[in-house]
Amino acid sequence: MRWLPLVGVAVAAVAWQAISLFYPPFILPGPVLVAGRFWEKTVDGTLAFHASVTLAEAGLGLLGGTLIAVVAGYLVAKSAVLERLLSPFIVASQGIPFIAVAPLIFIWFGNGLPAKVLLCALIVFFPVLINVAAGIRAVPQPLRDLFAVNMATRLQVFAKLEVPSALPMLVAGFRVGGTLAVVGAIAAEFVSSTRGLGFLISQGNSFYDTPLVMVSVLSIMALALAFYAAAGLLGKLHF
Amino acid sequence: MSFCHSIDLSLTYPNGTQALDRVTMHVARGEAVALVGPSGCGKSTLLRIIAGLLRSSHGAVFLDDRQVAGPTRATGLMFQDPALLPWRSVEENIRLPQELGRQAGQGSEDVVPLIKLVGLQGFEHALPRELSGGMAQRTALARALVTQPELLLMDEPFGALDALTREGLTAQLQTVWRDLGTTVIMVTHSIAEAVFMADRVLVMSARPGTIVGEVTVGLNRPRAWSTQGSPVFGSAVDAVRALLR
Repeated sequence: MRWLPLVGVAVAAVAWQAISLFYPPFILPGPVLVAGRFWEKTVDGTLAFHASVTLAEAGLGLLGGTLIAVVAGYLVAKSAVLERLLSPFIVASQGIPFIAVAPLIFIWFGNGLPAKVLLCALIVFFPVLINVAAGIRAVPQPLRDLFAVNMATRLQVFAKLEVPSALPMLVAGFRVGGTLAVVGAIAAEFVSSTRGLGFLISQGNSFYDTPLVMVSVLSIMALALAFYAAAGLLGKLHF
Repeated sequence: MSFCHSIDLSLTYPNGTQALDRVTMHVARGEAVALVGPSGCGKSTLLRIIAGLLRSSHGAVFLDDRQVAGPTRATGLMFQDPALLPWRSVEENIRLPQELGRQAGQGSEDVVPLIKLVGLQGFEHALPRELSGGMAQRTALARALVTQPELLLMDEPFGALDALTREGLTAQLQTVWRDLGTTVIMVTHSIAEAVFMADRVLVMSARPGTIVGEVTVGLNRPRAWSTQGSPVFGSAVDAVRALLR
């Protein structure tokens, strides 16, 4: 049963190759052609360069957005005033496609790395904040009482009770945030950039270099999966 | 000479609901007292006030003639839910109170005798999810006792257990606190359990909760489950039931 997914992929690849025979490569390149292009771009370093740009944007955005969101999520969970103050923004954030904000951010902060990191951080911020706040709120009252009668300090409550309790929720938020950060970085590169996997896609698009577009899409997918897996590792932390 | 007493405790919530109305009670050192009453009568609230976790709007609680102003280490807590930390083993859960507070790490006595006392030897490294309900509750008991509290507060500690486990644990619990000389205040729904466990049963009225009477249980210790067939037991149960009406 373990190799069934591989069989699925193999069948899809064969079907893809068969269908591609009926179309010119700039409409539908087959997997063999795409694999060749992938190898070529890997060997000449193009792929590594552009992937590292996207990785830096999404990675820094994810880290920065998560750090601020954890602090903010903790404060929101602790302060009813702050929660009410922020609730319009939290609700609004669920409706704003942050990608649509990208042009604004470029107007205000230029189109370099900082602006792209900022956009990714912004996208990551709200899902992580909501999950962290919910996770800390979900700590059962008996456990809080137990820590209280044992004269636990605020730091002890935080480190020994709230963080480990909220960790599964934080990981879930981090997972969603990780994939969103990659999407955000790509979208930012579409709007304006000269490097990154998103740039590579628009370049392939304008030259009708369809194999290059597919190579970029596959690389983005790999990057998003890597982020997802990394978030999973966070959940393995032991206390 | 009372060890723990409350005078004129009243609690009114900000929304106007009165939870407790002038509750006055005295508990002697080493005594086991059970609180029974209809649900929603404020038994658990009273327990939280005694623990210093909740402030009363009027009146005061004294432990050894010192007024309770906030949570203190003199109290140990046990709840209906074992409330164990799922990522910690049995032993680590029992040790938790030793790691808390400003003087954490000092006076970390050996917990082996305690683990033996509650019959959990062999399960020190098990995680809470691997335990039965009764074992989880015994872990919670050991955790409550690890700081050697003078006062053990229990809020329906057997409420979530099946009848058999309940019988075993109640019998075990009374020997444990007899050995340690702990003063116990417990909340329960079961009249039989209250009479079986306690030296005195305090009966509370429906909200706003107040103490409407008390029944002293004249049974010798240790008590076995067969005591439940005795006339003394039966008359105590009847007396409590009469007060509840």
